Amino acid sequence: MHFQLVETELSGDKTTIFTVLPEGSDETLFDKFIRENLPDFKTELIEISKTIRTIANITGAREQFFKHNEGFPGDGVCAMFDAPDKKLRLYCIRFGMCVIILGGGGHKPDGMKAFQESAKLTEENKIMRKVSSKIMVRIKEKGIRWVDEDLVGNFNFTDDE
Amino acid sequence: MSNQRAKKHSSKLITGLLNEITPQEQQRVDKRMKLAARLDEALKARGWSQKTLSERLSKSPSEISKWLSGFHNFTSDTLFDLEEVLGIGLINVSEQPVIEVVNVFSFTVRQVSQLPRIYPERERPGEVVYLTEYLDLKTQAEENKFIYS
Repeated sequence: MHFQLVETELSGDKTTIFTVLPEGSDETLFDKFIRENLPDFKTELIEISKTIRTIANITGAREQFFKHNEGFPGDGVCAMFDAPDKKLRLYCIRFGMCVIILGGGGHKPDGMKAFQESAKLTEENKIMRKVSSKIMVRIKEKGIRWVDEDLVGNFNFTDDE
Repeated sequence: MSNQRAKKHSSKLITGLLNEITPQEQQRVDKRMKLAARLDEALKARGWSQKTLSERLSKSPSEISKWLSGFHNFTSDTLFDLEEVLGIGLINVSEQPVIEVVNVFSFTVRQVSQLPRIYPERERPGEVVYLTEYLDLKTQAEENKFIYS
């Protein structure tokens, strides 16, 4: 999996908002999530955008605003959802209060208990688990470091790692 | 070792969504999430878990989790209960003096040498007459000659 982490215009003083840009594509995972859900869930997308903006500018990425245990233990993969009906799931990786990496997601129908019941959600979740594991290795090897509560370093990832 | 920050990526789709949000709508979400953050801070300050709070208020843990998610639309009674049990202020309903609203009119008085003959009976030889006596206040206000504050 080749990709690059890029910073979105949603970033604010409290939290930097990244997303994933697959190699050879102009469309980030978050843009793809918006494009796929815009026809049926525009209101829900606007709700999620408001939430991200508040996190970025005012509250920071507090643990309480995310649904946890969506990935492997300790990998930071979690989910955001729209209020109040929670029709959408947006997978992301949370690194403390200061960094969120937005991925993709999809519709979570009423009555569905686990994301594994949806092929689309399972696939999007799997992608973010892979992204997280690569970032974790890069941070461990100091290829990406924390400087002033922000990430700096090499944000390009390839399958060779 | 690279010290580079990630590249910025602009998106028409994100911009399009953000343009649909009014300042009032964003403020409402800001306040709701700040309230949830304040509740979480109060829990941490007391060393309480969500379960402890749920027991104190006889609520289910999932309800407390929903309160802290930033999406819950609280009733005033729930907020009063939270103030009581957590010992924090969330709604200020103390009596405050009502601020009197004063309208201030400001206008220029111009001395004129000749009195318009609107009220001939008021004409007195050698008397100083001010034009404002004859002005229609409503008309002046419409012409923005008054300053309201």
